[in-house]
Amino acid sequence: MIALLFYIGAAVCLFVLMFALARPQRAPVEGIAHQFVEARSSLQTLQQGLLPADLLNRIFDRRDLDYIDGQAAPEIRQLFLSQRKAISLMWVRRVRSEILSLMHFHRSHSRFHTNISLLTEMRLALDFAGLLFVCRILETIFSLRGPYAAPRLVQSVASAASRLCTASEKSLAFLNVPGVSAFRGDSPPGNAAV
Amino acid sequence: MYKWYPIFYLYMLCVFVVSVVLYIGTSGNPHFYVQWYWPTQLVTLVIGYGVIVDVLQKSLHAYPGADRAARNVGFAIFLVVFLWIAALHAWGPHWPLSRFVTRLERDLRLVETLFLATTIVAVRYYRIELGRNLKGLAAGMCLYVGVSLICLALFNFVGHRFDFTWQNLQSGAYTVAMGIWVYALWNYAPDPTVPPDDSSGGYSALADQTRARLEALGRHLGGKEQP
Repeated sequence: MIALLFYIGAAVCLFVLMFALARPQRAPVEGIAHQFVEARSSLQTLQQGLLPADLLNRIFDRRDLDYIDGQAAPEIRQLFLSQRKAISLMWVRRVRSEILSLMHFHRSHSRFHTNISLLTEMRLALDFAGLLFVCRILETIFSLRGPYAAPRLVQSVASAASRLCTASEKSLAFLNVPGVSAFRGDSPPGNAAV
Repeated sequence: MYKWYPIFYLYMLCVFVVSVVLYIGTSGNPHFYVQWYWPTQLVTLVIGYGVIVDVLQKSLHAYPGADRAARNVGFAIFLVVFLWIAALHAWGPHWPLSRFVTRLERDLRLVETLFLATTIVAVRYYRIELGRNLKGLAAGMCLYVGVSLICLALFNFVGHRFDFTWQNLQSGAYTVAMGIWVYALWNYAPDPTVPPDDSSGGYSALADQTRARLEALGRHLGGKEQP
């Protein structure tokens, strides 16, 4: 009986895939600069905007709540919690969307590489899937129990996303044009250093 | 269309010839069908494998990375399942010939199923858009292989009571698959996505754009231009 169910299950999976194949999908246009720029911008947003420890501490530090608890009225506490919840939800959604963008870039780029490593591909696919799943869980937890409900999970998402960023950085390293570093933001007004 | 999909047309020809020979042979000798059905079925099954490998190659030929990943996974599955089946048949109980052959065909259909599934997963995962021809070929094969697998699994479980339903189901699936193939292969439809000659084409465009902007900026500032 188990064997019968196994064979029927395999056939049903094939039918499901057949319908998935029939569904139109938006394939990315190959080889356009836009793709690379988008991926690079996602990477920068993650590394410099969303994952730095300072920002994480700023959003998820419980001492802010303790301070409000000790100083302010309950209405202020409620207001603070709702605003912090909105910020944490925005943070996790943004992280998720940037990870998705990196994942799409990786897929559309790696399919051209003849020296593709199956093991690395599988590991990356699992990492991406795991991270996206945990982001969804975090979103649910923030929605139901507030921004301070899962501090460890936040840290683990941040460190896993950082690891993925490091891996993606290698494939985008060629976009670091050396000449661009000559533009510095420290030149005095009216005397731009190029 | 023959020059684009020769293995598929060989498969169709083989199925047609086998059906005609079995039909003519049975009218002269009632035992002919029973005697020759399973061996000829195995021949068409082997050519069916060729069609699936052809679909895999044609779907992913422009994407060497995806092609390599799908091929490695597909052949690994093929090897594992094939060895497993060989071990089962070598050390398992000894069945009568017809039972043995139906089990063998069922297991080979399972390998076909897994191979087709790997191809579709690779196509979806790497977001590759297929043309109408390949989509139709794969969809028809999926339908026929899937229904055959279910029929063979049920036949092995239920026995000869399932004969009538099996024949109707399998013939029906084949007819529907033929309809899909006729629609999909009515005329040649190339894959919509045309990949670039090399994957760094995008980068060249980006570098050119950046260089042009740097030169414009240099001129605007009136200073030395960037190399």
